[in-house]
Amino acid sequence: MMQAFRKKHPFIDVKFFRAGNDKLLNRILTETGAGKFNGDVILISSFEVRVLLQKKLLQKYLSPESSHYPEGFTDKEGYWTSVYSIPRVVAYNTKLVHADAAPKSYEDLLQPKWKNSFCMSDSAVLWYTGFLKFSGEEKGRDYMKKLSAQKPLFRDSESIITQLLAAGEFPLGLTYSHQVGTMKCKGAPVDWIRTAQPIVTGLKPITLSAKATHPNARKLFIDFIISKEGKELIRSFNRISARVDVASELRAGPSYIRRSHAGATITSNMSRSSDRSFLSKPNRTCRFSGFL
Amino acid sequence: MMLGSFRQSGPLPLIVFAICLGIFGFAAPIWSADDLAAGAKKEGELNLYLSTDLSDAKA
Repeated sequence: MMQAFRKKHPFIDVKFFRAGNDKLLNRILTETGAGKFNGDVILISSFEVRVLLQKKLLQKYLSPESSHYPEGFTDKEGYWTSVYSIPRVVAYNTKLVHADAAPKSYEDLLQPKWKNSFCMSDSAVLWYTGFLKFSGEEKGRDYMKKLSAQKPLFRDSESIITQLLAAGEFPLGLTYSHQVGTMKCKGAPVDWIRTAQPIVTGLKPITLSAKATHPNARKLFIDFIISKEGKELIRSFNRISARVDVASELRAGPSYIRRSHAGATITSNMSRSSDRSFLSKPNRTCRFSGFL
Repeated sequence: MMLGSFRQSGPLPLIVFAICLGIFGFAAPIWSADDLAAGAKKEGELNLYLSTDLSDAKA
């Protein structure tokens, strides 16, 4: 991606700092507090974007490319556009669990045989909230209490969960579909369950820093990332684009999105438009964007 | 009548108008891709803060 941008604009020296969402947010806030923050463009998850918006650290930019995104994937006021979507799915180790014996739904996870067998991130706040939005507050909380009684294991990131799942540390895990797909492509014994609903999907927005010191270069970069060319590159590393003119597993057509509860979007009839087997067959997803 | 007003208030409004035109003319947003590229060339640098390793994405 960086190479493609540099090739297109060789006169721009692109420097970047990369860290996980939490660390990146802390760094931005710390540097801002010290008056040393010099970031032009920020790519971070929706929860952190909400924090940055509250602290007035972002500025608007209505890219001409953002018109190619459906409602909910780009901010009407111009503060952000989602570069890709991140579905959280129930995955399993295929050596430890045969496909036929794998749970088919979230309800199946409550069976006694899966006690102490399911691993999830201790910061899966978006998943929790999206699940409750989808199921309804009362039903959702009731499910979470039952899941808690199953004594799930906790790790601090989905990357670690996926790696440990592949290593056979536990048979089931709640993790990102693209990570499972990438590991499966490399031959790891992992797969994910298409029938477990809802698939709560987060956004990865790209935004302009309010402190940006390179007003033209930053806009060029955002235009490139969310352009059709940029989106094809995004797909090349197993991420799902919401852009309407790029084949997407999250989009079956303009009518698929319907607003339900405030902040949540339920999409149904997901179509199969990719050749990536790990993204096949899901028929419903709940994309939660309540923090934006 | 306008000439009369101009005579009464002097050249000050005209000067203020010219200054404003100059300021806002230069500060106007640049929207064309070519202009953005020209501006970016002068800037020569870009600082990104990323929570994703975009270097994985290849053409």
